[in-house]
Amino acid sequence: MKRNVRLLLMALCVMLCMSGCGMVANDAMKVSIDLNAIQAAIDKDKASSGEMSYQEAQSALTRNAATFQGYAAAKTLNFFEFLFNKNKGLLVNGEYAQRLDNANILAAETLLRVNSGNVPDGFPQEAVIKESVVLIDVKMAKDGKRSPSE
Amino acid sequence: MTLEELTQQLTDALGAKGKELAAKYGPTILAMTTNDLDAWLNYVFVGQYSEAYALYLKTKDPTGILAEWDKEHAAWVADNEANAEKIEMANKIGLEFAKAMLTVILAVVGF
Repeated sequence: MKRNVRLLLMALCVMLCMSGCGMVANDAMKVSIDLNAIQAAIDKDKASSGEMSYQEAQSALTRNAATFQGYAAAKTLNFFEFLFNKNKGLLVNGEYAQRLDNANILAAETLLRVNSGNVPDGFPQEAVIKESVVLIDVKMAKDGKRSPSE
Repeated sequence: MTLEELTQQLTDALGAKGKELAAKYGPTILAMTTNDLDAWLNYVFVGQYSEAYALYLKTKDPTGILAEWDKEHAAWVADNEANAEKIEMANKIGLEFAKAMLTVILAVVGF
């Protein structure tokens, strides 16, 4: 009887925790997401103040594209895959899975345009600002918080 | 087909929602070549939405790419809002549950 109550309580706790979490990261991914958000905040400030050169912006976009690709590759909707596969460090719901896929594709396309050189002046810096905002959104999702208001 | 014709057709079929869809996606879809459109529909039908989105982005000019980032950010803001609300609700339920359990435990131990 006691054992059954204990199991029921444990199940309730797990359900309560999981019902609210749209994105759960393992320790390695938590650190990675936090560091990338810090770098994104630095890039955003630099690009906004007009102190970022074309080459610096291009390098930031290359880094961001790799970051988004890493997030998309690390995501899973399967709880057991998250638990037992160390390459799947991000447990997400359907909405966040779609967001991470879209951001990955968009970052790759943005980098492709910049590398082709066929973009107007200021495009790379503007793209860095916009990508940085989304990288900070990912950290907010991981922390279960609302995105900061612009 | 012109944008006006597409808007009219979608409005007739879907009402206000059709008009909204035509304004949002019409210019991009009309700019796609027949081959691209064919491939895009194929991707959608077989559920390869990422490939469909990648193809859709190919038709965008640089300003359109930046606008897509704005849309992406708006979607993250909405998802994060919903996520934070769920977490607050779960915490509230958890707190109420703990309060109820505390009452029971205190009653059991005789306080």
